[in-house]
Amino acid sequence: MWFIVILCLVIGVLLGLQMPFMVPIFLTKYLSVAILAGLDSLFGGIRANLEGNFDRVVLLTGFITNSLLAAGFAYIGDLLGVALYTAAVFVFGVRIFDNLAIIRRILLTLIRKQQTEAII
Amino acid sequence: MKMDVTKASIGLVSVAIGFMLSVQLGANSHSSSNIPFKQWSNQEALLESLQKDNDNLLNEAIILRNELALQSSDEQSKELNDKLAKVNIAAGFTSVMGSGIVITLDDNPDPLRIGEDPNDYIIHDKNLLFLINDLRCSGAEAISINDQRIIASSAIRCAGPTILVNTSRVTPPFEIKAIGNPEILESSIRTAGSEIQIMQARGIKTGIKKSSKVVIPALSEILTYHYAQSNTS
Amino acid sequence: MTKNSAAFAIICLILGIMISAQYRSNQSSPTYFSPDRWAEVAIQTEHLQNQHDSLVNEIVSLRYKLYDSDAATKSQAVQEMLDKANIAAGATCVTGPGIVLILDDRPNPQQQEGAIYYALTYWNILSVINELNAAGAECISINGERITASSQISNQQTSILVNQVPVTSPYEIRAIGKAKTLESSLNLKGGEVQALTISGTRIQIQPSEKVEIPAYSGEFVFQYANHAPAE
Repeated sequence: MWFIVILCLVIGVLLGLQMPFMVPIFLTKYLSVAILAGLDSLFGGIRANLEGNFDRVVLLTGFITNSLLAAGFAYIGDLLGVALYTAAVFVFGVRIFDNLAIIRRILLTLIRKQQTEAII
Repeated sequence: MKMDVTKASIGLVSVAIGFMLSVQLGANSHSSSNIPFKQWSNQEALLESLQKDNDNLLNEAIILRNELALQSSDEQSKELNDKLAKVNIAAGFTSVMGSGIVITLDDNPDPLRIGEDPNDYIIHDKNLLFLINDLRCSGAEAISINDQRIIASSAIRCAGPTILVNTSRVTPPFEIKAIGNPEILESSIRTAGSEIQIMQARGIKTGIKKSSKVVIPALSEILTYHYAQSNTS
Repeated sequence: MTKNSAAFAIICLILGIMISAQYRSNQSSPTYFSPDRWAEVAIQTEHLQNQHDSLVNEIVSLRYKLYDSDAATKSQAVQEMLDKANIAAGATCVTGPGIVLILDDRPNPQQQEGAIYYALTYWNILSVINELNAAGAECISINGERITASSQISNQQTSILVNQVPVTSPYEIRAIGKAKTLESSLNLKGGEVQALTISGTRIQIQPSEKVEIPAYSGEFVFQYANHAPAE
């Protein structure tokens, strides 16, 4: 899993750098929250994979809907003149940190288990 | 005792969160996220239409002036009319056309490297000032920066992130038009030590194009003399 | 590749593209929608509005003079137009309140031996003229040479040329305008006068009620520029 994740991220970044057209400047704010939502889905998927209850449909649908919802949320916020953008950043940021913490804990447990098994 | 500690820590955390939220909201109110894109594009459309209006009005004013001069020229000799025409060009009161060159300048687009001064990457008012002088020394008969006519009393100075020419703000990319002998103009401003060379060395994007039909507009503002009086009046 | 891995692959690919697209877009113009630029746009709008109003006034007054007035008013209007154009072009001598600025960069006999001697260059003169214009100077002359829209200011060996005429120190720069504004603008920190004072040039600013500035001593010749036809 890790290999696929890192490889495809790198390929995606390189592809994006080569793109002939640029994102219109006024869209960058919405794209940034969409990226945050996407990252949240990614880390959620990694965590689910490590925990053993990975569901690819959840991952794919979550990625699409969360990204669109986050961008839409920020856009409505602009229309209303309220900084809803900040709320999206806050929520997805918290979830990313949560998932990262759990991933870290699972990895540490795995490593410790390997070490004790090696000793035995 | 334990309950009090729990409550106290919850209270402390809440205070911290409240503080951070207020700071964030305060910072956010100064950011661009409060000005929606629609407002930006409306404002820019307004600017464009104002500029177009002003150009049309200026044209009309010049036409009216010419008509007025013609109407009263029955007694004036042709020589006087010629003098008026020449003086109008020298004064910048009419738009002019002729062969010349068009120079385009833009700030250095490359990202800043460590240790470099960001001021080196942008075009300053002094650069434009010396470039205009180089053009004059090469025989330019009329000059404009981004359609702002340069006359004797034109000033070029920095105003925050933009440059003021006459009383109008201009921003990069700059288009500098000069009417004169295209070959002489081009070769003169490319010589060693010229302002163009100095800017190119700093990475400023420069482009020079000769043209047989350069159109330089009239001064876009109405000049009034509050202090100077000609001795013959 | 398993279907699960494929799911990861797809979203990582898309995410990677989004991230680099966002990065590129942000690099190109991060301040395009900044509040600073909004303030600039607002100032520019106001300026265009003012220009619009003054142009409309000018047209109204021109129309009146053209259609609703007698011959005497008409010829007077034309005379005024000619007058204004003459002043702007530098074709007549002018008088008015203003200042006389004297820059003396000759070696100072009172200075000690070995003191560094800084000679004015044409860049200094150019900057001073620009500062005076920015302060509202209506007409300027240097050592009797009128500054026009095509005045050349250059160096030839060791002397400065204005309008292709050599001028020597002390440089007497006359400017007509509001004396107080002209003087205080020149004395601003970071200005040319301050820089020249530091390098040893002796500077004198004399306000005057009656500054006389001569006409341009050359001919107005336009070999390449012609009137553009009205659109």
